Amino acid sequence: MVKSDVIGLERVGERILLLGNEAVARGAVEAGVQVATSYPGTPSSEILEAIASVSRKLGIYAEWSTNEKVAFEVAIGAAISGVRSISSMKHVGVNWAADPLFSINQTGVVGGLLLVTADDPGAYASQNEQDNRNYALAAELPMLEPADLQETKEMTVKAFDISEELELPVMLRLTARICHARADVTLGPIRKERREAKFNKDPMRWVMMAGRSRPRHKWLRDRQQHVQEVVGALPFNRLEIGGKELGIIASGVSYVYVKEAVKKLNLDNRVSVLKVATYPIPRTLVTKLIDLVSTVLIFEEVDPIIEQYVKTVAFDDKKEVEIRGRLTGDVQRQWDLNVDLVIDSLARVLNLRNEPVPEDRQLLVKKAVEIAPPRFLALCAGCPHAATYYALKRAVYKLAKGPAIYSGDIGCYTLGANVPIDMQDTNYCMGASIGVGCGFSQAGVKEPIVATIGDSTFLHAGIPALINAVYNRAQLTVVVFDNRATAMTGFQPHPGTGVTATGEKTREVLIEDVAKACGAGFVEVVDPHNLEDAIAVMRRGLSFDGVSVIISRGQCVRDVLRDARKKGVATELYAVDWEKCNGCKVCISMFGCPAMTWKGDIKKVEIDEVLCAGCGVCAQVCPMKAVSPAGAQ
Amino acid sequence: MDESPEELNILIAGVGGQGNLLASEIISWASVKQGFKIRVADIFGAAQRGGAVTSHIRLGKEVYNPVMPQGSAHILLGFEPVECLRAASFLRPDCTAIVNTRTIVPSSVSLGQASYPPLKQITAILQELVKKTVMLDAAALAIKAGDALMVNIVMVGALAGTGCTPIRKETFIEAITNLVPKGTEQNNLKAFNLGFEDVQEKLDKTGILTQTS
Repeated sequence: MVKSDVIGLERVGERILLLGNEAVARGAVEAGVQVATSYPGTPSSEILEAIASVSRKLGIYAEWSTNEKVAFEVAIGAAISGVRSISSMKHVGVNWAADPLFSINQTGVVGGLLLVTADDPGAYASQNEQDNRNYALAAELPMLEPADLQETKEMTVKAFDISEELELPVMLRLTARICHARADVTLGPIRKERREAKFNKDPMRWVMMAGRSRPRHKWLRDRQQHVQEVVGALPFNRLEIGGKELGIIASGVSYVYVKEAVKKLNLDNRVSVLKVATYPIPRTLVTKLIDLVSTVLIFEEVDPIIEQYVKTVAFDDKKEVEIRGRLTGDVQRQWDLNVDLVIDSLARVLNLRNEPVPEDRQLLVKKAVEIAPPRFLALCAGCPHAATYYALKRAVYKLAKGPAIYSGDIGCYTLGANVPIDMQDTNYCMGASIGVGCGFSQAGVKEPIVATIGDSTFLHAGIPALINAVYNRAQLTVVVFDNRATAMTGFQPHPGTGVTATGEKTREVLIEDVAKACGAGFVEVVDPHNLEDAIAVMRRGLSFDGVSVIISRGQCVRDVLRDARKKGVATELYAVDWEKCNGCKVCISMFGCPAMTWKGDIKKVEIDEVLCAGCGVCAQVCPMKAVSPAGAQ
Repeated sequence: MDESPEELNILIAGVGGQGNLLASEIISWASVKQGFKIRVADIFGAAQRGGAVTSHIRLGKEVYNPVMPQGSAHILLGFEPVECLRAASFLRPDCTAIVNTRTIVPSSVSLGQASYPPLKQITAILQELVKKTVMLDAAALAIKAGDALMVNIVMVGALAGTGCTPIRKETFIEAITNLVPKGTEQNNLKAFNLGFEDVQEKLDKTGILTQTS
C-alpha cells in the first residue's frame, strides 16, 4: 500500500526509493496528468493509490471506477476534451477495457491518453498470464515496455508526448517484476500547468457508428508509417554490439536478466544485444542485428511476439538467420523468465559449460525444500468470509439435497478453493460466478447452485449477470461475501463503502437495494459472526424458488484490527479449554481458522496468540463449547 | 555518499502478514539514503493471506536485475523457520542466516497432510547449508516491545546487529522513523533495539558472528 506522497516531491534531480508502480505515478505527475482512473487489481493497484495520495496537492482528479471498462471510458472522455489522462489496470482488466479500446483507436485523442496494463507472467496473482502486447498489435496502437524503474518513469512521461504527437492512445506494458520492484529513481520536474477541458464537436470523428467508422479505420492504417517512425526514434530501443557469435533480443525485464547473464558468463565480446522497448518493434534495428549475426535468441514474456516479427523481417529481407526462442523450445514455452533460465538457454545455445552446483549441496538443498511443509494461501484468522463459508456449508448440509455446486469468483474468498474450505468449484473471471451459475441451472444440473461473489466484484461485474438470472428465471442462490473493501488488492474503497479514492464521503450504494432492483425475489442481509442466524437465513435462501441473494456482511478483519489499533482498543483473544476439547478438529477441518493449530502430542487444539483476531466464531463452531475469551490482551 | 559494495544480496523469507514487505522497504530506503544503487523484488501473490513471501534486495554498482539468481544470497533474513528451508536454493555457502525461531504452522500440518520438522532438524540443515546462523525468538522480543506485529522490525534490528551490511545503525533508525505508521515510532525503535542487542550479544569478543543456535 502507498503510505505517503513521495511521488509529489519537488526535489528535481534527487534519487529516491520508488516502487515500480510509484514510478509510473511519478511519471504521470511529471507529465502533468489531470485525470487518473483505475479498478484495483494486482499488480497494478499502487499506481492509482500513489496518484490519489497527491491528487489534492497537485490538482489531479483520481478515481476508483466500478470496473476497468468504465475507468478507461472516463479517461477517454478527459483525453478527447484535451486533458492528459491515465487509466491503469491489471492485464485481465484490459479485457473489459478492450471494447472502448477498439473504438478509441479509430477516433484518436487530443490530450495524451495512457492505458497502463500490468501483466502477470507466471500468473502469480491472476487466473491467467495473458500477454497484453497482443492488444497493442490488434488495436494498432503504440506500446512501450520498460526494463527498469528509471525507464518506467521516463517512458511514462514520454508516452504522453507521443500520444499527443500521434493523436493516438498509447499503451504502457508493465509486468509484475516491474510493478512490484523497488529501485532508486531520479526525479524530474513536475509539469504544473493545467489545461482547461474543451470538447470540440466533430461528429465524423467522435461518433463511431456504421458508416462513420470506415474512414476512421483508414485513418488509423494510414498513420502506421508515422507511428513506426516516431516510436522507432525513441531512445529506449538500443542495439549493443559486442560480438557476432549470437544475437540476443530481449524486451522488458528480460533485458536486465540478459544483462546479468551476459556478465556472469563473460559473453560481452561474443554476443550483441538488441533491447526492444517499443511496439511497433524497431524494424531498422532488427535488420541491423540480423545483418550482423547468423543466430538470434529471443527472450520475451510470455508470447513469441518479437520472435514471430523477426521471422517476418528475415523473410522480407531474404536473410538466412536462425531464429530461436519460445517457439523453438530454446526458451521455456510459457511462464515468466529469470536470470537462471536465461543462463540455461544461453549455455545450451552457445554450448557453454555451465558450472554445476556440487552434488552434495544439491542434495542438501533438495532435502531442505522437501521437509518444508507446503503453505497454501488461506483466509486470515478472523476473516468474515471463513464464517460465511462455514455457515453456507452447514446450511447446504441441513438442506439435505446433497452437496451444492459453488460457482466462484475473483477476490479473497477465492481462497475458499483451498482445503479445508474447498467450496469453489469454478473460477474464471470477474462476475462469472453468477453467469456460470445461470448456465448450470439452465443446462439442468441437479445439485443446488450457489454463486459466491464479493462486494466489489458484484458491483464490478455481477449486476448484469444477476439481471440475466432473474430475467431468464434461473434457479440460483447468490451469496455476496461483503467485507466492505476490495481487500485482496489492498483494501481499496468501492461504491458500496461510501468513500472515494481520495477519501471523500459519497453516497453508499447498497448491494441489497441493487439486488432488489434487479428483481431478485429473496434478498436478505446476514452477519456471518452470528452463525445461527446466518445458517437459518441461508437455508431459507437455498429453499427459495427462483433467484435468492444473501448478502453476508462483516468488515474485513484487517480493517477491524487496524481501527482497533488506531483507537488503542485491546482485542479480546480466545483460548481453548483442554479439559473440554475432545480433539474432534471441527474447528480445523471444517471451519479452517489458521490461528487454530493441532497439538499432536496431547491431541488438542491450541489458539495462536499472535494470529488470533478475536472474532469469536470458533466459540460458536466448537461442538464441545471448549472455546471462550481468554481475557483481553 | 558511501562507497557501494560490489554486490550484496539480502533475501527475506517469511509468511504473508509478518510485515516482510515493510522490512524490505526499510532496508531499501536506508540503502538509498546512503547513496547505494539498489534493486528490490517483492515476490508475493496475495501478501496478507498466509502464503510464502520473499523479498530480494540487491545492492551494488553493477546490479540491474531485481531478482537474484540461485545460490547468490549473502544474507538470509528468515522470518519463519521452514521458510528458511524453502529458500535454500538461493543461499551462498558463505551466507549468514538470521532466523526467527517462532514457527507459523501451515494448515497443511494442522490438517495432518504434512508435518512440521523439529526446530533442531531445521537448525542442523541450515548450519550445514550456510557458514553462519544466528537464531532469535523475534516474536517474544516484539511482544516485549509492545506488539507481536513488530517481528519485522526486530528482524531489521537483528540484521543491523550482525554488522553484515554497509548500512549504519542510525540510517536504519531514520528509515524506521520515516516508514512506520505515525505514533508507533517509539515502540518500533524499541523493537529494533531489542533485535539489535540480541544479536550483538551473540557476537564474539572480536565482534564477529560465530555459529550460534
